[in-house]
Amino acid sequence: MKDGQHVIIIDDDKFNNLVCTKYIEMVSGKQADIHAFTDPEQGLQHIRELGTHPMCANTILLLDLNMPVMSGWELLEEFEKLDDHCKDAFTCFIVTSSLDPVDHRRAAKNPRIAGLIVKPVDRTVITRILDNGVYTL
Amino acid sequence: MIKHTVQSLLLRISGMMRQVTGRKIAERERTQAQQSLAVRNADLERIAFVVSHELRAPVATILSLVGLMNDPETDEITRAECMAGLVACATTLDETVADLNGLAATTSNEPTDLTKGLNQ
Repeated sequence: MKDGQHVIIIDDDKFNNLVCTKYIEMVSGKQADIHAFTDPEQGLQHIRELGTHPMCANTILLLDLNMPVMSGWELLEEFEKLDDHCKDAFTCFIVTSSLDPVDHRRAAKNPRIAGLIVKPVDRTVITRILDNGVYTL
Repeated sequence: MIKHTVQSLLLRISGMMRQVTGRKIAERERTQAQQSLAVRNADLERIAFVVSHELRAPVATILSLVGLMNDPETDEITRAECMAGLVACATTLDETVADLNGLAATTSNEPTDLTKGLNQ
């Protein structure tokens, strides 16, 4: 894991956020700075605030797709409106329980998405994400 | 075609008649069948969506929670949180199955009771 690793988790399922947070704490030895949001709009706001910060480099985003009010896809559309230097600081992963091939194809086509993780989330998945910043199916 | 004399007396009637009742009934039946197929297709698509998203979501979370509970590094407070999560997910799952049961019943001509199979 890189030093000063930030992780933002956006998922309306608070138990998924709990599992991701705990595994990230374990794998990083509580060194990672974790922010979990069940409200995607609050999560997006946090990303925007972080985007204006000069220290915004090195952030992993774990994003759910199927959420009320704002889907993960809608959030990514808003994310694309940020400045390039800010966007490049993020490594985005989709974390979904969806088996829908439409979602999987859409994720594969989006160059902003570093990987798609199908739940359940386990320690191995989190370790690979934190170690490499890449996760391939 | 009906022809009259100048005094409006009936002179001649010519024309053709054909019995089309059978064809009209068949047409109506076909339209009805197409409509009911469209409704059924929409219901099946809805079921596929529910299975892919709403049914799968709590199952995946249950598996994630159980995995974390079984991790030797997990502390007791986290285990208790996981247990509360398991109860919440099982409740959501139960509600989704009930919804799905209702959908399945509308797509079949005969009422389907999924709980019958589950309770056996």
